[in-house]
This record gives sequence, structure tokens and C-alpha cells, in this order.
Amino acid sequence: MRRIHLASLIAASSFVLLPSCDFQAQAKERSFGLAVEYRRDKTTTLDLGDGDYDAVQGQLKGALEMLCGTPAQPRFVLLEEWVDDGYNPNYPTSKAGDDGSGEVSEADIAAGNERVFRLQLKAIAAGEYDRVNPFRGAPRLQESWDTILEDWEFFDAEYKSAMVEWELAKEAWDTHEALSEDELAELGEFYEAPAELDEEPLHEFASEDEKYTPEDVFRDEARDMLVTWYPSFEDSAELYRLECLHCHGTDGAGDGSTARFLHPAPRNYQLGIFKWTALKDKARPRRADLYNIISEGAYTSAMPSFKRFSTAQIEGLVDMVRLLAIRGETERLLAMTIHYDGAGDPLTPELIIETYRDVWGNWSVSAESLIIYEGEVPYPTAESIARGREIFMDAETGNCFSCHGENALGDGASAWEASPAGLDEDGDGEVDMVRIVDDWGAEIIPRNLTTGILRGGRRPIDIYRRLTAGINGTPMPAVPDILTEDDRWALVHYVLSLSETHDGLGLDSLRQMRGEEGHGGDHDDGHADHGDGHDSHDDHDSDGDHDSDEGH
Amino acid sequence: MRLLVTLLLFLVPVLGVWTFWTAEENGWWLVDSVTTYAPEIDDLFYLILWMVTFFFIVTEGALVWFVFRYSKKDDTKAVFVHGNHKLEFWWTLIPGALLLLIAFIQMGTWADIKYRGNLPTDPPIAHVWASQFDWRIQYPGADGVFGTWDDVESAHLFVVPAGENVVFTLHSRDVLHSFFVPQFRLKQDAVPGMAIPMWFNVEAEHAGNTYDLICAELCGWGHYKMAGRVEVRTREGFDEWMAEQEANVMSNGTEDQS
Repeated sequence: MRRIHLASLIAASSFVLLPSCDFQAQAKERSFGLAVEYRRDKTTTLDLGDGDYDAVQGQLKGALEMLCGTPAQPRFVLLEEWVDDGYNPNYPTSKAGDDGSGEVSEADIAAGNERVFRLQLKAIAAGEYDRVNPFRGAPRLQESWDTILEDWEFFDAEYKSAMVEWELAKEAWDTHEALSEDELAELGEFYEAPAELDEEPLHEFASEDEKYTPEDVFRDEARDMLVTWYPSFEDSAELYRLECLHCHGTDGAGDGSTARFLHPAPRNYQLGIFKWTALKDKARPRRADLYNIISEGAYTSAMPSFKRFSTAQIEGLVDMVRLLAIRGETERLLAMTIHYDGAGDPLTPELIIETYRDVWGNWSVSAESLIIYEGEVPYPTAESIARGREIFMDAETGNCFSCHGENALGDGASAWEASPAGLDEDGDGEVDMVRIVDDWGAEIIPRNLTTGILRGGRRPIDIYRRLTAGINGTPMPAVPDILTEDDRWALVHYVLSLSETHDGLGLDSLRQMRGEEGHGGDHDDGHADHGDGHDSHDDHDSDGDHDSDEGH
Repeated sequence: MRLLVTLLLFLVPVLGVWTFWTAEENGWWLVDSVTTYAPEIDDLFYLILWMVTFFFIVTEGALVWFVFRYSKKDDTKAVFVHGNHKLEFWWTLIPGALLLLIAFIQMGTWADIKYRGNLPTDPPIAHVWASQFDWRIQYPGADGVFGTWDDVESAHLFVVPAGENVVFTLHSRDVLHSFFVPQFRLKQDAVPGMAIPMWFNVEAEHAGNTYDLICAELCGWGHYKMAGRVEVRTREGFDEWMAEQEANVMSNGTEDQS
């Protein structure tokens, strides 16, 4: 009996307690923190002062909030010159020209929104407006929806009562000849001015040329609102909170609650360095580069493809990533200034804005660093692959083997170094060899090029870009200038050839078993099939059937 | 009290039947079926559903009646009955026969969909790779051979032609996943180390539709993120898309300038 009481107590208290938890309010109160890292600049410890550490931290936080807002309401503060140019990074209309890659076609936005809002659009078409909300991850959109729904309900009520009055008046007019003088007097203006009855009172509420009821107008408006929706910064912040924050963290420092379970670690945006871009000169990523990684994912890492979001939603997340990266870089520079110029009161508004402007300066010129190849991408040949192998193994030019290994398995010796801390944990009297680390402090495992999984893309141009620019934040360098274009493509072809299998992955062997000419069999290069191992499964299956038959 | 208990118990079959009766109008029923073999699957489902419904009503009815009729009324001691061989014989034989019947009826459908030997002989269109937490579709590219440098890869988006047998293999890179498209009535676990041949044929009239490709095997913390799409196009639409992708593989990067 006591157990039942306890259970009902728990059930009752959760009914009472759960609704009283205002998760939304919690979200609004969130604030950005300060990076751990700005105090550890690899060689220097950035120190924000001795005694008044808290005060300086507060100052820094305040400055950053002024520049970039809060996690729930992020926004970029506008620079003077933008106001003159009419540029505003907070509004989608001026996104194009931002860095030359922000142009999003209305058709793309509409197609994406029609997909993610398909249930809402279906409900709108069916007139079931109360089934439309909520818009998860879009608080602003939800607000707009509530507003137009309320407006419509008001107009609809007005319209319906007007229609009722009109119907009554019309009926009275149609029968007025049978009415007495007193009754006619009661009809008032409709009796005096019968012309008004020619038209239904629709025109007061809707367009005159077409016979729309307020509901028709509303339905179009509601549909339009969803299909053309482009997230506000607040909407994107909410989506970021729901989908990205648990790995990338509130501040974008790659320190979310699930981050510590992941290898490779989630990207820390705060250095402004992003590994896979189409750019050289270590340029900051373009919008298109960030869009690409969100949309395609970083294959076989924990970063999944977010293609289930609409174009507009992904563009919104690009805004968030840019904001967090720019905020992080500004923070870092300000912290360095405090460190090197001493404490006191170095954070003047001029300094803050100047630092912010410097950071933006890097982000707005990225399009100039785009790598494109003038001409047609060459096809691989046996010669080009052999030449690629030569360069791969040549210590003077390619020197790829030193990290990626002679067999390109990612096991080269240069990826290791003697422990910088001089550790000797195995106790053999020599300093241990440890993996070298990247700019974010994570161990580097050079890519095993034979798997065919290349996170920055596996098109020839992607690999060409990787060779031409290196990988940001890692020791993967750009190939030296003495390598000609032909040599670079040879290297691309060699890398591509490493992961080729030429097989039908199981189907070829099946067809051979059945004596058919397999589709994958039309390759004439004599590569062996790798799918042989799968035939045995059929044998096991049939054995299993026999057993069970006998068992009965 | 006896009546109350009986009535409460009676609610179970009533609510049970009511749920199914009203499921369709409440939108709780099966989603559309769009593949050639989907009607067969649905027929099997309905066959079994009707069988189960019949026995559910009969047994629940008996149960309710027994509770009402034979509940304890006074202090008389219950009589121990060993059993009835004749009765037991029949209530074993009839369900056994029905189970066998179901087994034989479904065999052809199952074989058509799942047996390797019955795989349509059309060339495979793609390899579908499941990994945590990603669907990656590998098409053979311009040269028509899988595992070569010009393969086309598509993340989370499986584009297929309508009105044709779509043959593909299913792979997993890490743990168990499951390829599930409810409208196709097709579900198959992806097992690491195995290349599992699969096929479906979407009726031509459904070209232009998009269906959710769901992972139906809890595969880790990001399981819910494994939401891909299957986009069904006409043959022309498919070829067009494929040509775009093949051109994208050979891109020299100029289109990124826009």
C-alpha cells in the first residue's frame, strides 16, 4: 500500500513540477562565457591581471555582449561604414556581397521550407490552423504565426457578423413590398439605399476583384509566411541551441556536454580557423564553405549531415557559426591586448570597436582567396598515377609519405614527436613519442588515404584544393610552388587511385554464382572481386532451414 | 462489484476494437504504400489482423463471460479439474494449422523481397552506406563501375527512378543500422561487414514524391539524426540529376565564384 502511495506521489509531483519548469525562460537567461583558451596561447599564458581579475573579466564580457548580443538574442553590432553602405549582417537581404557567397535563391528557400514545413502546410491547406504550431527551433516564426492567426480570427468574426446582418437586410429588402410602414421604417438605411445590397460586404475585408473570404486571404498569407521564411538571428540561435550546442557549446568553443565523448573533437569556432574550405592563404571560410560542411557533414566524424533542414535554416546556422567565430576571435584579441598592455583600464570603446573591425576585415575578403582551376579537370591515366606516386614519395617536393606513410595508411613517422613535456611513461629511459597536435590541441592522425573517406570532399577539385592550400589549423601544408599544375593533378590522381576497389561489393559474386554477366563485370582491368566472402551466408541460411524442419 | 469488474474488463475488448475501428479516420493507420510489392505486404498484414481480431473478440468475450459467470459467490471450495484432452487437442491443432497457413502464404512474398536468388537482374544502382549518423549513397558515376574515382556520393539523399527495379546493396560502416522507408514497406538491418542486396520498385505514378529514410535500429546517441530522404524521380529526372552530379565531380571550382 505504501508503495502505491509513493508512486502516486511521484506521479502527482511530476505533473505539478514539470509544467512549472520554464525552460524557455532558462534559455533566455543564458549568457556567453569567456573562453578558457585565451589564457593559453600555446606559448604564452594570457593573464587578465592579478587582483581585479573578476572586474576585467566582467569588462570583457560586457564588451562582447555589446558586440554580439547574448546566446538567445545574438546580433552583430553595426560598424559605421556599414550604415553608410547599407550593409547589415543581421538581415538576410544584405547577405549577398557579404563575402561573395551569400546569395540564396528564393526558389531554394521555398523548396526547403516547403519540405520542413510540410505538415504545417498540409494543416493550413486543410483549414486546421490549431494544428500548425509549434515551430520547433523558431520562436520568432511562432510569434509571427500567433499574431496573424489572432488577427485573422478577429477579422473572421467581424466578417461573419457582417455577413449575417447583410443576409438579414437582403432578405428584408427582397420581401419589403409585403411589409407594413412601421416594419419598413425599422429597416432604416437598407430601405433607403437598396443599391448597397448589390454587393456582399466582402470588399471591406478582402480584395475586390476576386471573391475571397478573409479565410482565403489568411490561408494564402499563412502559406506565404512559411514558404518564404528566412530565420531571424533569434530563430537561428534557438536552432543552434537545439541541434549544435550539445557538441559545439554555447560559446562555440567546442566544449558542449557531449564533446568529451567524441573523436575527432567538435570544432572550436573561436580561433576562426576551419579545416575544410575552398580557400587558400588560410582565409576565413566563406558562407558557402560553412554551408557545405553543415549540409554534407564531416563524414565518419560525429558531425552529421544536416540536409534534413531547409536552405534557410542552414543559412541561419551559418550566421550563428560566423557570429560565434567572430565573437571568439575578438575576445581573444582583446584578452591579448589586456595581457600585453597590462591591466588598468585598457578596454576603451575605440579599442573594442577597432578590434572588432579588424576581425571582420578578415571575414569579408574571403572570396578573393577562392581556389579554382582554369581549365578542364584532367582524367587520371596510368602515367599520371605513377607520377603522383613519385611525388608522394619524393622528400623534396611532395614529401607526403612522411606523415601519410609509404602505403598511405596514415602511419608516417612525422606524425609523431618526442613528448614536449619530456614524459617517459613506459620507463625505458627515453622520452616517449606522442602524436603531434593541431591548433586546437587535439592529436593528429594523418588521413588513411586508402579508405576513400576524405572529409573535405572527394571530388578531384576538393583534393586539388587541399593540396594547394593545405588544411587550416594542422601541419598539412600546401604543396610547394615548384610543383606544376600537371604534377598537382598527378598527385590528386594518385590519391584517388588509392581508394579504388573496382568491385561490385557482393553483387558481382552473386551474379557469378548464378552464371550471369554481372554489371560490375564490365571492368576489364583485371582487378579481383572483393565480395567473395558473402556467398557463405546463403549456405548458412539453407542449413538453418534444414535444421528447423527436422526439429519439428 | 462483480458487475463493475466485469464491465471494466469488458472495456478492454471494446476499446481494443474501437482503436482499430477509428484508427484510419484519426490518421493512426498505415502510411501510403508506393512500391510494387507493398500491396502484398499490406494484404498479409490485413489477413493476420483479421485472424487476430476474430480470436481476440472470441477469447476476450469468453474471459468476460467467465469472470461474470464463475466469480466466487460463496465459500464453496473450488474443484480441481485435470483437463480435457479433446479440448486441448483442438485448441492446439487449430492455432498450429493457422500458423502453418500463415507461414505458407507469406513465403512467396518474403522470398520475392528478400531472397538473394530472387533479386531482379537489373544492374545495381547504388551502394547505401549507413554509419553513425549518416546515410551515404554511392552511385557508380560516369564510368558505371563502383569503387572508382568518379563515384558520385550523396549525403542523406537517395535519388531513385520510378517504375523500375531499383537494386542496391546495404552496408554499415560501424554498428547495426536499419534501412526503413515505411511507404515502401521495406525494412532491412545493415550489418557491419555484410553487403546486403535489396530492391524495390516504386510505382511510376509516384514520381516526384519524397519519402523519409529512417534508421530503425537504435544505433547511438545521434540515432534520431539519421533522417535521410528517398527522392523518387522519373527516369528523365533521374538521368538529369545524375548528369548534374557527374558534372559536379568533374567541377573545376568555377561555379563556387557566384
